[in-house]
Amino acid sequence: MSGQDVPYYLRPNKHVERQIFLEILTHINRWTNLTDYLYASMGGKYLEDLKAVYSSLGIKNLLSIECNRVTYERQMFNRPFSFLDCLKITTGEFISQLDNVMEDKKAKNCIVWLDYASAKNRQGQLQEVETIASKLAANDVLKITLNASRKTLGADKEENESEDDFQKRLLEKAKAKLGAYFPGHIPNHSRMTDSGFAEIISHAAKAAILKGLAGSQNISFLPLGQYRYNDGFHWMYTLTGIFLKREDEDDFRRRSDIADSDFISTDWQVITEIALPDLSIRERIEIDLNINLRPDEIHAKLPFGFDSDPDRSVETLKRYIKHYKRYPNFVRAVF
Amino acid sequence: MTNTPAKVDAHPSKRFFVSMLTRDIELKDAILDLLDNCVDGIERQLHSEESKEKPYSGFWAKITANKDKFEIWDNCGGIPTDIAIKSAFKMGRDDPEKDAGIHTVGMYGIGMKRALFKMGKKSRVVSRPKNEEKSFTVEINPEWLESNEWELELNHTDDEILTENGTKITIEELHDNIAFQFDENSSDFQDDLVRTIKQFYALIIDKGFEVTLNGIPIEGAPITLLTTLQSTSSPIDPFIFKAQIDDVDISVAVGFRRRLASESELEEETKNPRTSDEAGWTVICNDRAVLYCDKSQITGWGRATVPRYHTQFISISGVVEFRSNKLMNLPLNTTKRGLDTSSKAYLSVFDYMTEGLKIFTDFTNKWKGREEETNDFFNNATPKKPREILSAIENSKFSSVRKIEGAKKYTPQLPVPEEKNPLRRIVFTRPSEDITTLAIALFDGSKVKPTDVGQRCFDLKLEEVKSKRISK
Repeated sequence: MSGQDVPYYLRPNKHVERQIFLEILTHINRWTNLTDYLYASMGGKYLEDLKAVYSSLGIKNLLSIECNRVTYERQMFNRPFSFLDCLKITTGEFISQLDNVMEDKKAKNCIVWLDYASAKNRQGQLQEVETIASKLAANDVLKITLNASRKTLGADKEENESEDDFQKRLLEKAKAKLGAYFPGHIPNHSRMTDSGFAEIISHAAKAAILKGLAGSQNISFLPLGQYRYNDGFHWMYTLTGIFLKREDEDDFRRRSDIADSDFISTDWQVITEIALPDLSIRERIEIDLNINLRPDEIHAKLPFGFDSDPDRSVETLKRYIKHYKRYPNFVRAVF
Repeated sequence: MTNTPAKVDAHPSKRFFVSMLTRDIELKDAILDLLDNCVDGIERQLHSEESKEKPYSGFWAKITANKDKFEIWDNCGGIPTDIAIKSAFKMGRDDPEKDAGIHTVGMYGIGMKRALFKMGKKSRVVSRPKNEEKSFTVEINPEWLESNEWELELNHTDDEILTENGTKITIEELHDNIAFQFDENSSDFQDDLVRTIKQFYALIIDKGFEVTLNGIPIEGAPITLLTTLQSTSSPIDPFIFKAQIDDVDISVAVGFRRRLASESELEEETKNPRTSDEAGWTVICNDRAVLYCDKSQITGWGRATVPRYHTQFISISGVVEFRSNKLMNLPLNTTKRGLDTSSKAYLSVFDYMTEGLKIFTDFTNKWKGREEETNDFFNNATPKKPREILSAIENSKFSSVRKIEGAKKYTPQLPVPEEKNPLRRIVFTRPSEDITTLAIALFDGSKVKPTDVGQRCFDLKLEEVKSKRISK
């Protein structure tokens, strides 16, 4: 089963990642008005992200890209606004027709989210990223999601195989799957953990974008955040960034106030892990009562812990505190 | 009235020289030229005495590349002062016999200058030559490049700027496009450079030479071929040919680098041809690769009875090595990234490259559709570097070659499929929804390969037909 069959509201990590994405867009909005942008994404059957983008930023030029007929028909049924358009089209077709789509939608700039949930054909996905990077213009925003679970590399650990040998095999697999996007300096095989694999994926995504930009030397891509989260089945990697004219970068940094955000990083080396602890509502209320205190102080006041090791327990608490404002509330509703 | 002939100015224009020279070469190749100079420096010190397994051990080249400068610093002996004064900075070499008796690859005396001009407007060469007391510095600045002056100043210095005998070349005021490529946040050029050095310098790095880029060592990616080294249990071995032609020592090894590709792999490969693909021919001249994994007619694909390269041949790899101290006899072009296919050495060996290649394309074709049956043969073979295989195979296994005196070849006897009830491939297409319906019915799930669904349907029907026959 892949993560795409689980609704958002059952995936708190993904929910938080999406909230952060909206925060990034809010920062970009301080620099340039996003209201007239075209927002295009693979919204899935519920079109959640398109709804969220409209409600938080007021973007009305919304476009969903979907190639599966069944999902497309459900989208058309679930479509919440008349101004949300659904296209039955593959991502590859969308990318090759991007200029026409922009003209049809009368948009000068766009935000595109390529949400590649499947681990199949990573090279094809990266080739698409490269192509779209060559087509996006200054001030356009790109978000991509790629599967970063090492278990999707198609190598199972054999019974008598040492972890060392297994990791060597995984590294070879990763090399074959990523082809020209694999790092030139081959990482040590001991980095073939899920977090190490996310670094390799990040390198591949960067390489794809830079290859795409080779023909437009006056435009650069500024990463604004790279995240890694587990959606219940797989580790996913996301990257959001903006294409800028080189001379605009300083102005962008200043006016978008990105330095104020704890979650925005323009450093390619930083991949932030989102791993929320599973908490009951009562536990959360207890923590929230003292949320202005230091994590260790909050922890000391709690009548329960999260781990037999006190340090690890505080670490878990910190992961909650980091995102407590974004932690989703799930309640049963009766219609 | 005497008729004094007027003088016509036939001096080369520096501006023309600089712009023409640099257009003929890619940035990567220009950097490789500088590395070649380092290796040639080592060769001059070793004087062809390469008995050790790692003769280049202890020698290094450290490359620094960022948007502000390029630097290459080596400890490979430095430039002798008299050579620096007489020829090292000259455009082109007067004396092609300069390195007679040494296995170098520098031929035309153009590499360093071309690289300097290619990258930037200001450069400095500092060298501390072996067996000399003083270091020297030569600087090239933007004004010199614009002028018609052809001489440069060489300044001696007592300071030990360089800790070892060697050379440090620094290029600043980089051209915009070069700075762009060196900037890690603008271009993935550095990745590409690392990959190229790995491939083209594999043998040199394997011999002990250390190359770093921005402090990170570059490991070689040597080509290996599968071999059983004559063990009789499994006969997967490469084809080998060795000869000496025109004072060039030549060796050819072609074979399998991996097991045959399965059908699903081939399907994926057709969709996304891997650029890092390691199939094809690699040609090496004096340790330096000049062609890496070539799949074109130049190396015999699609020539005579050999088929053109196709993804089904992804497992085949070959290495041709030329070694000579007569540089001009090597099949090397000026950028060292291509072959001089008219060279006698190359023309003579070409027939044996295709002869070897054909053995493995034939094997692949014969086993088409039954690739899995060959896995056992491959499991017993281990990857080895061509040189190791060459020295390990006993002389008695080699046969002589009629057309070339002294040449020897080893032809492996690869397994042949049995022809009793041969396998035939069935290929057909059906609507995706129908395949899913069958997959759910047969395997309780939709995520089964269409091939497996088709196969299961065939097997079930066959079983049914056979059992009916028995019951009748």
